[in-house]
Amino acid sequence: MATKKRLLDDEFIAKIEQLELVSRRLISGLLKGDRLSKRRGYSNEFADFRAYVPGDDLRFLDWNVYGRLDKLFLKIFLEEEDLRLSLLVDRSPSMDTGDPNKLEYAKKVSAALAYIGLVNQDRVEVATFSEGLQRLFGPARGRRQTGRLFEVLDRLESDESPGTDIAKSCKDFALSLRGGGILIVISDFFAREGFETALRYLVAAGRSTEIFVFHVLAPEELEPELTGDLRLVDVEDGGLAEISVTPALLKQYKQTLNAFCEDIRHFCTQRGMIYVPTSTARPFDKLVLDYLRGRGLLK
Amino acid sequence: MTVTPIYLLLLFFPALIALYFLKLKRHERVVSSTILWQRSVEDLHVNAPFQRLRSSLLLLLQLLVVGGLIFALWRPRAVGELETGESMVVLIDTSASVGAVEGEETRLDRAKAHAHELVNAMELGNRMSILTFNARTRTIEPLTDDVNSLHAAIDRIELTAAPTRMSQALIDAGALAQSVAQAEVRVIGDSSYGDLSTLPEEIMRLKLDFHNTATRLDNIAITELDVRQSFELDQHTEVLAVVNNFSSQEWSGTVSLFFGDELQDARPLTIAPDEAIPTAFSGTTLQEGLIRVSIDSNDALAIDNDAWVFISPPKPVRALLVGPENLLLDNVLATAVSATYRRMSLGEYESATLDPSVEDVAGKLDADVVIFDRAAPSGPPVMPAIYIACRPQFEGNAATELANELSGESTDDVEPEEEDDASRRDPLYVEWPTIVDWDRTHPVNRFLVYADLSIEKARTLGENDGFHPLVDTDKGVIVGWRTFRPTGRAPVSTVVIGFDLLESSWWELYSFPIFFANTLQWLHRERSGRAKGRYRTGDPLAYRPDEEADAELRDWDAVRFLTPSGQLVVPSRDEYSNLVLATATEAGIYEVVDGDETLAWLPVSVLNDEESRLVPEETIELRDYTVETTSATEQGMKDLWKWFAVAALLFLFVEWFVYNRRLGL
Repeated sequence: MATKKRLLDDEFIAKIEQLELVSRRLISGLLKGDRLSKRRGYSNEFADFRAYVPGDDLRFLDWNVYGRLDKLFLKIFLEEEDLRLSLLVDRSPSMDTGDPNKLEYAKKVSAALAYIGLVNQDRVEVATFSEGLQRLFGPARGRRQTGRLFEVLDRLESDESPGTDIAKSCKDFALSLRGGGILIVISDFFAREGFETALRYLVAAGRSTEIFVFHVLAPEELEPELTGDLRLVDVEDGGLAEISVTPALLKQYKQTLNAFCEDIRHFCTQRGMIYVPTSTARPFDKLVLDYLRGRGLLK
Repeated sequence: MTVTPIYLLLLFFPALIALYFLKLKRHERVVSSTILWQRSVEDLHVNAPFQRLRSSLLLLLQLLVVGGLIFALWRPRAVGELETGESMVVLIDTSASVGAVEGEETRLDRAKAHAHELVNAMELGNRMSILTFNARTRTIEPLTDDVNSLHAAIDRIELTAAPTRMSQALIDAGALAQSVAQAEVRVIGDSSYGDLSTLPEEIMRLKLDFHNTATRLDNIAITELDVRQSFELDQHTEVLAVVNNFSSQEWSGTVSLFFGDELQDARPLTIAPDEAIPTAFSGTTLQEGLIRVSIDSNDALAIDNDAWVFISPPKPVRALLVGPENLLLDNVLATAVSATYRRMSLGEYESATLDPSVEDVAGKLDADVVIFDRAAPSGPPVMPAIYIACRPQFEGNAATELANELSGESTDDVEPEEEDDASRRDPLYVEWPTIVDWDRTHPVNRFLVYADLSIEKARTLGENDGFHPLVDTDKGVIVGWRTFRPTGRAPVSTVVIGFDLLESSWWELYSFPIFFANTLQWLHRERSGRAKGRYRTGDPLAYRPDEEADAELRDWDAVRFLTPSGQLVVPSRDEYSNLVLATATEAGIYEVVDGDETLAWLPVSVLNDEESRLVPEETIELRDYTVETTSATEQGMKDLWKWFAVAALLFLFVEWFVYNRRLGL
């Protein structure tokens, strides 16, 4: 319980207790659940009629119609399946920077969303990626799993190994995707090879999956407070950048950062993904309670 | 090709820029990613390759510091201050023109103030000498490092009315400066120094600075004053004054003539800018006394608004006639208003002048001018003389010696036919020469025309005998003059007439008596020239004791010169026993006094265009090059590189401090 409190306090948990994840798409789950599936099945939700063909289950014949029309029609019901919530968290060294720390921020957001999913009987899984993919939690469902979830997330630390292979990690993760659901990717997307390939794998693998791309940046990345002549060292690969900080350079940096964010947004929008940029300066509870509710991920 | 140090210094600029970019003292900072920074830097470089230079105020300031240091190595100097070990010879102009008032003070006051500044700026090891210059150069304070003595010496400097003789001042100062290592000559004055193009070459090697204390001022001045007896009207004296307007505006005023203290005449005058107008006064009452001409101009320089001249009634010239009877000459000398004469034989003359120890031959002969008519003495001239149909004897006069040898004692022993033969063998002998020209500017020829003069026979003056032509013919000079300098005696002027008066038509012409009157006056004036009635400032003043009747009775050692400012000055005595004051430095009346008795009045006036034109020159033309003067507003002459260097170091220290504080190191 102490672990839970370290990530999410009781007050916040009480607030999110009543929330549930919303998918704007009809999902295709593996298990029976609370979610309507686009597949026809055995729920109470009527969907349509169709003519009887030999071999159909006679239990679904509409006898009232047969009495009036003397024809056999079969009632079709929507299948109710469970919701798959996948959280893919970047734990590369670059995420372990910033004040507030980006990885800590990602862990809290992940904990909150996973908690909501678990208490609503959604199938929740958490994976991290850095140099490679690491499955951290799940798939699991049910309130009883929340303790283990918090414990796993709390133990989560950044990967010390240099370099992030986001594309390989996403590819591995995409191959394991079954059915629809919600996929939330949390990363700063600082990767030398770029973000496009990785996101393409996810889009291709989960066409029925609603993908949220959480772009997390620290305040010092948004408004760098650097002066003088500096040698910047990349925390991931040790890459160097010698700069003399001038107003012109700062202005150029901001333009580059904006262009970087805009590229991700444009890429996501074109492919039906939802881009959620955020700063760790924004309190994560406000992000969950206000922003994500406003964006329709939670209700 | 010579590589000067300054070019090497210029290499500092690219070196500094290179060091700036290679600056190794970059501080490491770990960031989440350098991807965006690298991209930003690349974009910045692509868009503006020199952005780093332009935006780096630090680099710009460092470049300025290096530029300043390079400038400092050029040894920028400010007027008036010396470096350690240097010496300075300060030349201060005390001529008449620096008495001009500019605002509340004279130009000399400004010069002295600047000199005081120079002394105040002296440092340990500096030495300075103070000299003044006008017509003469005076050392006020020899080379010293005693600041108090220098200040006192500067305070002692007084204004004079003398003209500027800059060349001599520079030569004197140069001699002093060359005796001291690292000496500089600083000239402080009004930059009106006249022609300096003929300075000795060694002066050009001096470190010369000209400091100007003057600005252009308007001035009206009397630049010429002369007096003469009227030729047209007996007993009339004519006074001629020239008034010059040295200003940029037309001047209207009055020029007045005073005799003694009484106003005699006044004339209104209007003079255009930079023009001069002569004014003549005439009167019978002006016989003996002091004449003052004055203009009522309230201008910057008052000293040249008055001019004086002392007139005295002409003394008759005592002429001594040596030679055979000549009625023509007797008539001329007997009728001359301003001359008396007596006759003497050639033998008597020669016996009287035989003793070379007799200095005052004129006094012994009781004559001012001697006229040798067809009979020349065997010795050289010892007093002013007119030679008629004969020549003065002097060394090197080969032609004359030949002629004399040929002619021999022509008047006594030789038959006329033989004389003619001898004359015809004389290369200088000519017949019926035609007058072609005469020197109209010479006093001897004043008012004379020789066009109608016919001469039967004449002997021309040798071209190499040093005679100045007075009357020239188609066959040579027949009348000329020359000054001889006999050993141990005063210079004497002679006029030679190359023909016998009886063999010409001159006696019929009115130019004949005038010529002799002019010549006697001129020779007499040349002889007594040191006692003239008008002096200019800067001239030597002389008084002839032998003009005094009681010359032998007076104690001449007690005679003094009383200056216009009331100072008694002991005169020196020259080789002719004249009382001499080397330079008249004040304008006004100098009196020669013996106790309470005034023996003579010597009027001294400025009468100098250069001193009255109060327009300073911006550049000084020296021998081969031009020097720009520094103005009074330019201060200081110290090497400023120390201050540049200190400022640069301070700046670098502050920059280092601020830079490290910003980085929080």
